[in-house]
Amino acid sequence: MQLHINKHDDIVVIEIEGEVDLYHSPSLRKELASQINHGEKKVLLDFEKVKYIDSSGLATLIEGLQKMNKSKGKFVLCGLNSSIYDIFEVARLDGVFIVKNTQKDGLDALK
Amino acid sequence: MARCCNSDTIQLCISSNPKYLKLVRSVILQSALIVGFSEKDSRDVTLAVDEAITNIIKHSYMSSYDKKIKINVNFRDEYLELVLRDYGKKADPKTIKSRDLKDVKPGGLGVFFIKKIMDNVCYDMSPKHGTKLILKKYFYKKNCMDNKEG
Repeated sequence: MQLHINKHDDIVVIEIEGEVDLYHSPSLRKELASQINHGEKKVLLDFEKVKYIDSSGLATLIEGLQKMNKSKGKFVLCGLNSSIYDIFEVARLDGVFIVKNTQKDGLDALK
Repeated sequence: MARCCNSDTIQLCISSNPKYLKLVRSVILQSALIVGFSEKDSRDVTLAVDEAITNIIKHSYMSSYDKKIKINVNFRDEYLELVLRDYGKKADPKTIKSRDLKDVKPGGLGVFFIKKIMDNVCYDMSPKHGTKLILKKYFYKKNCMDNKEG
């Protein structure tokens, strides 16, 4: 898994590439914690290049969302393919996260 | 690492390092596709096995990465059977529960996925050391829900 981090004004965009499982989720968890601890209030996670996610990855996202909520920030996901979105739906997380179709939609939601 | 023992069984033996999850997923996905499961069902079965191995690494082996996990993929007439064997801390089936989905918190989703996806989930505690987890997914949904275990 690779993380590509860009900044669009006050929005941090983290593009994830690869698979978010028990092996890789610790590095995503570390990056999210780092961004939030540095005071970032708007984070967009782009899943367009994510092929797989398991419960370790979902736990990482829930942890990130809860940390962001505590710091009064906003956390948005975008670019989920249908198989990844299925997993969110089954776990009833589609209503927990703000999910947008494209990175542009995600950026608009955070502006 | 993978070897075909006979026409209807594949055996894998991996160390409990999460870096091997990807390899296992690849074998399980292809096995499910070969026996005729749909793409979605094959991805689901792969997720269930991934979650079961994740639980073994985290709970049976307490994140120790140099222990042994054996995975048998058995191609049966009516179902695909996945047998996961570990030699770590014994699981107590009574304490293995998925969390309430309304209670949104990190963790607890792995067991939920396993039970949601597989038609039969059985923890065999009879081995002297460790646990044998037997997962079954039927090719057709006939009566399999009657066999679904807690």
